[in-house]
Amino acid sequence: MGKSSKDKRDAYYRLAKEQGWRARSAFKLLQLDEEFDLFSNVSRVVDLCAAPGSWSQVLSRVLIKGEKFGRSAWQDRDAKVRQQMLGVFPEAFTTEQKESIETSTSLSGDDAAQNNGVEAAASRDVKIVSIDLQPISPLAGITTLRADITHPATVPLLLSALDPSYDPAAVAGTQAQHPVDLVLSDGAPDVTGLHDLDIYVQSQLLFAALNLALCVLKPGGKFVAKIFRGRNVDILYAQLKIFFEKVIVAKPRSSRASSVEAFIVCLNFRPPAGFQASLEEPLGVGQRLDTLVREREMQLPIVAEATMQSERGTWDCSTVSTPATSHESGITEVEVYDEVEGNNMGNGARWIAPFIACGDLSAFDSDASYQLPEDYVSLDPVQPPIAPPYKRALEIRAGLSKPAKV
Amino acid sequence: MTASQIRLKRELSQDPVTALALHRAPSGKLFVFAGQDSDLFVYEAKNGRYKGRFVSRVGVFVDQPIHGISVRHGQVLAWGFCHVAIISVESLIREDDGSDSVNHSQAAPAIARAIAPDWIYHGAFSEADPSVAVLATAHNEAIPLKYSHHTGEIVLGAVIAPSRPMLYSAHLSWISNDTVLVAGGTVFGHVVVWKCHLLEGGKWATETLFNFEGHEGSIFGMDICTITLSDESTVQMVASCSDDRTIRIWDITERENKAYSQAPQLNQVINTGFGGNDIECGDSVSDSNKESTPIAAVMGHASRIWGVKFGPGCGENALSVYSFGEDATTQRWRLDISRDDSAGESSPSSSRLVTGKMSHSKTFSLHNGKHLWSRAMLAEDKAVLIATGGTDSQICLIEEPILSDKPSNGVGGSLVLDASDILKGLTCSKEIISRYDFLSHDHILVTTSHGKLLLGYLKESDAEPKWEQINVPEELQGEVKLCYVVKAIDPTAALLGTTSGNVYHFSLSSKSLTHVASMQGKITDMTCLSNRNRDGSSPPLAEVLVFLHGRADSHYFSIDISTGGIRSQAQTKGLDPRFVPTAAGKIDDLLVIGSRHGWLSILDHKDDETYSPILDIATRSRDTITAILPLPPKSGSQHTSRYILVTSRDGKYRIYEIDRQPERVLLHLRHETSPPFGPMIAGAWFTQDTVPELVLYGFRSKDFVIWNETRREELATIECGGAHRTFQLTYSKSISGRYRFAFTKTSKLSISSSDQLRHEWVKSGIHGREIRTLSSNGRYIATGAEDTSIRIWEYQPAGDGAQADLRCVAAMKTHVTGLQKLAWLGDDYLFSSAGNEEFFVWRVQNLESDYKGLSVVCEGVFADKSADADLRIMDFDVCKSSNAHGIIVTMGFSNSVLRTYRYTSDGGRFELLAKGTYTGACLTQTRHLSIRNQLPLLLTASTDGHLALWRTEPDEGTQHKYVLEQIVPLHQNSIKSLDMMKSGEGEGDGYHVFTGGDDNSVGVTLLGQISRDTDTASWTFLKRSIVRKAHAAAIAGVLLVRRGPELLGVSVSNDQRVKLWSIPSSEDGNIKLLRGECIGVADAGDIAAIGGPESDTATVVFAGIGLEAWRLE
Repeated sequence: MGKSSKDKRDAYYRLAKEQGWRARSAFKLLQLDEEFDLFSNVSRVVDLCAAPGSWSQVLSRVLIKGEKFGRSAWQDRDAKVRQQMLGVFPEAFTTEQKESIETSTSLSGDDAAQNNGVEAAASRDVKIVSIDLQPISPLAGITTLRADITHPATVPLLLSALDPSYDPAAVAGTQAQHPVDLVLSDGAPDVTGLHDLDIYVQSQLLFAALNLALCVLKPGGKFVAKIFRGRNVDILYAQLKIFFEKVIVAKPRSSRASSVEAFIVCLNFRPPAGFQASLEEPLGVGQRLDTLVREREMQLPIVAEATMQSERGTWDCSTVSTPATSHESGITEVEVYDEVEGNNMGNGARWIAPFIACGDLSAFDSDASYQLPEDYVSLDPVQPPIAPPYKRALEIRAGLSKPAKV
Repeated sequence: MTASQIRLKRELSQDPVTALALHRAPSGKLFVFAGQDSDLFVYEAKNGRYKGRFVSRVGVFVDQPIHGISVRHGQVLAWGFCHVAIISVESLIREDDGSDSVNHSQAAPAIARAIAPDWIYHGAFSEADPSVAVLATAHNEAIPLKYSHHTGEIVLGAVIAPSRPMLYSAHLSWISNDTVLVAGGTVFGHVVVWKCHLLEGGKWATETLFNFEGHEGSIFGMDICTITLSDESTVQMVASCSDDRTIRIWDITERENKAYSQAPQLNQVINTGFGGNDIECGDSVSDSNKESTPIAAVMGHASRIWGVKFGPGCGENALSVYSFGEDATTQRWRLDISRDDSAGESSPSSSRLVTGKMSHSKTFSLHNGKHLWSRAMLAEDKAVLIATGGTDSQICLIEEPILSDKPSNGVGGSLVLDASDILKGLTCSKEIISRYDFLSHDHILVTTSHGKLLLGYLKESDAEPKWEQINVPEELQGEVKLCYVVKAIDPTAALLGTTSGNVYHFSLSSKSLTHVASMQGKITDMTCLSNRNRDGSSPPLAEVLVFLHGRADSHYFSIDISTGGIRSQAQTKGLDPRFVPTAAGKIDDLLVIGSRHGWLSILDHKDDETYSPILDIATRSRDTITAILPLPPKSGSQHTSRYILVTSRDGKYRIYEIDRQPERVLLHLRHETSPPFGPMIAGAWFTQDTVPELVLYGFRSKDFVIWNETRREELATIECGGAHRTFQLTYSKSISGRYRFAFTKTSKLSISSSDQLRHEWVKSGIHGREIRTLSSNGRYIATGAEDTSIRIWEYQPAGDGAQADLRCVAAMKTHVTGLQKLAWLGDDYLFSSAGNEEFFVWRVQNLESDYKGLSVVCEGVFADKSADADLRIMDFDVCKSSNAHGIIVTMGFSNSVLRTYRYTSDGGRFELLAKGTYTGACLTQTRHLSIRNQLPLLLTASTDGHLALWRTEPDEGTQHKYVLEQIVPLHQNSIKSLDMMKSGEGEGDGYHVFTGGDDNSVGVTLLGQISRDTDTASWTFLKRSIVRKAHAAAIAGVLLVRRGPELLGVSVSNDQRVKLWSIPSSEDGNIKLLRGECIGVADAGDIAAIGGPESDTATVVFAGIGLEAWRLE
């Protein structure tokens, strides 16, 4: 696909270039933050599988430079106007919002893009460490490490990057003295197409990230990571629930509905009593986690959870005892108990995390095609994509098929 | 039937084949063990039938695909993820049960199971002890396994690992009774080789041998082998294949005078990511790091390489290597190895470095789509058997004869000859081979540039033919020199046509030439229209049409096959002078001639000596028509078929119906499609089976291809350099894969022969890519896939011990982007939409012929596209116009636009009736609710999770615009699937709308009619309800089925669960979950139901990666 047709097919690809992001995935983090307020009271962050660095870029601009990004960064103003004209979603508009729509539609796209990052007071004692296998171009205020997050040697590397006085020989050798508030991971393997292998490798990345998080996260901290919503993802949800009070699976509007990708947002880190992250016994292999899940289940009363999005776009958990409840939106919520499934189907205990779609309805739709003005000039990407391992193969093949030039 | 009694039972599964093993039983039978999702299937192969015989099926795991099978000591070791199982071979193959029917009453085989701590990549039983095996995991660990035959228990030992890098592949090889060699391929492209000694008392020791760097991508497959070189020394090698498209062979021979240990230390920061070593070609090796230099490295395949296996030796210091790719091909390589002499004479030869060279020798493209996920090899005395399984759920078995040591020109059933080879001892002049044709499988007739006529006897496929020079009278030698066409008209006779305008008859029995006829002009080609030898008429006659250079008109002869005497003759007259005849056929008394520029002409007898055109039509192509042949008639019918099949250089074949009306003759296009080769089809034939199959042949880039269109299987692929050359083919209509193909390349004659198919399809398959959309018209199911093709299938339910089956009756590849949606309208119209605003209307009909292919022709092509034509048509709905004039089509586009057209089949026109625009969100579902004033009222759903109702209002001119009537939220984000059904039979009834979302939920919405008056009719939402945690992942398919009074919902999700729901019939009740089942279809795209609502059972078809049919009973 050419640059300009990709601009139309993928609004976020175009927006990322217009707003100077290294990759469209920056919007995923911004939309997750809008929903879950991830960055409030956060000053120490670890970003895993960070290349090409768009999430670190968000961290740098929000936490270090103190910029603020709101909905205006990804709002489809035309859609908003059309929604208004059609009288769609009246409940979604407050008077205030309508005013802001009117003012923002009077701005040209370029102005708005520059205005949406408002300078604010630069933040306090911010520490951000980004890790990836691939080199990451430098970002203001961010420590970048080139390492493999699945390798045990990365833990001491990360600890000393977080804390220059770190001593690996100390007693709590795998625990950070100054823990962090937030651990992020946008890592994914190159998928093979063999679904359960891809899910396994992705879960290994997730467990590697979780293992690092267990070493560096402070109680009450947050963990956000990419997951593939495929077979047995409910086992992963159940296992993450051991360590966090709240586990929600979130899909930002900038992530395509046609993709299996989603983000697991884990809030309020509270490891089970006596749990110690271990390099010798990493998560993700063996039955250790499943045993913990089953132990935990034994201790808990049986409750059903339901999640509702409140008007502010934040979320609450509540316990629903009746099988069906009606809501203001006029939708009857039906709770279904899956007695058929049971929890003993061989691969481990299961739990379906509540789902939240985030980034509001006026956000650009990553599945839609957009018409661009005739004079629209397609921009070059901020960073060229990372070379795939077969790049040389392509070059060599191209070289072979072309007649030698004299 | 009440809801609680309803069950879902799997009746057919066409899932990716993720594991394979071959097993030759003591009885000599060959069994194929295949893992498809969590079940182990057993087939018997090579039993003289075309397809393998299904033997048994057993569920090995629950909710977990089988990723590997290894058979040894009469035991099957199967693994998938962290699960492992052992089953006895005997209980699976039931050898004692001689009958074909599967004994269902037999007890299910006993399965021992265990769970390992990690993903298993490989497993192998000890050679010596049938109760011991070792597993290799994704973290470079070996796990000893102990199996007790008495208790049927598996006990796994402690994990053994020298280091724990993450692997993408591993291979185990027992090298002694207590030692296993482990080769691991890491995510970062390293090859790690170590030894694991299993000691007494559960103790162990590890020894790291090698750590090779060089691959620039993850390693997906490995194999280990040991060979003995001509100097008696042995070399142990590991082969690795990778994301970087290379296959590398590494020397892992342990040599005593060297230190190999390069084990990385734990906790030491090792170099991660990919190294930058160059891909070495052949023997040019860099000296920097000999230890990490492969014996050989080669690039191959169009994409990633998933597997590599060492084959048998193929000559001195050479062996074959097979590789299996994402590109769905199996490739054979020749690996020549030698000692590196540069190390000096003084050192013993066994310690000198081994170098090698790999060269490509053959590509097998027998699968559809992408990915050969599984392979197995069985080396036997005379042949090596290679089984492959893919995403297409097909299993192929290739039989490769063990290649002889002697280099000969007869390798692999192909011969290369020039005139001097043939004329050895006959003459020594600079003659070249001129023209030739096969009389039969056994004889070829050849002319040379010096006017010689040679008869070759072809006996065995790879033996040198015996040549006989035919005595040509001196006065005819000049004529043979001018011979431009040799055409066999019978196994006993051929005609020679010369540039001097003469036709000669060659008789095999008298071995002589006889003059037949003379005409004005140069003979450029001759077509044999019929051979009446078989029907026993006397004397045997052949009908031939002779084409002349620069003339539109041709000569028709009816010739006595044995004598060459002319029985009757005629000439065609009245064709346009620009008509260049290239192919012809005869249907009853009509001649059909095709031209170089794609015209077809039908000619009838005007008088005894003249054929005159009665119809000229331009086909849909301006390319040369290459063959015209009648379809087989319907058995029992008195008449010959009224259909003709026409092949063309444009890569398509077409079927026309000859419509003989009293006053005139018409030709209707009934079928048009292109097989997956091309761009040129050279000809076709129908097999002599009870149900005739269509076989096409032609060229694909440098290969000649023979393709069974009915079975969609490639019968032969012969590298010949391309289409622009002289070639001849002889084939058998009864024995599949029996052919001889002769072609001229650089003035040499090559003959490629096969007596039978060298490969067989143990199991047939489906699309090799994700199926995105399904539609059923009750009898046929249409599937549309990411491979941009549409296929139509006939479902044969299980019965009388026969497995349910899916038979492909048509395949169309006209879309160039992945399919979005398919929908039938009645039995004879199919509509399809895709990206790039592609929308086609297909006319589907049955042919009155024993040939069972469905005829499908693209009747309408949507042309009212946007300027860039880059939108996706996400969904559409079709219905017959209420005034019976045309078909109403409403399309929902990815840019939030709705458009309604009237389609008329006459000329395939689309007339815009109404359009509208939604908020900007991508429209995912578009449905007609009812028609009001000739225009539809619509229901749409979109990526914003809302349902919307639309009506039309007059707009400028005769057009209308869509106005939003009502909009309600339901799902949180994209509504990925929607099905709706009328609540009752009555006019005023509402709709039940069942939706599946990306948000893991299913929704039930009731729609009611506000007014039933035709002018003011409109719809409203009565009730919406939602189940938030219906599945653990996005729900890509939903379906409503009525069973008696019950309304049932079926949903399928990416979590690989199927759920059956009870849908409340009124506003009061709530949706209830009835059942949940695991399904092998990953990335599910759609659901459809076969069988009407009145039948007691219905079959529900699920498709995505794989396809399954489940009975609702």
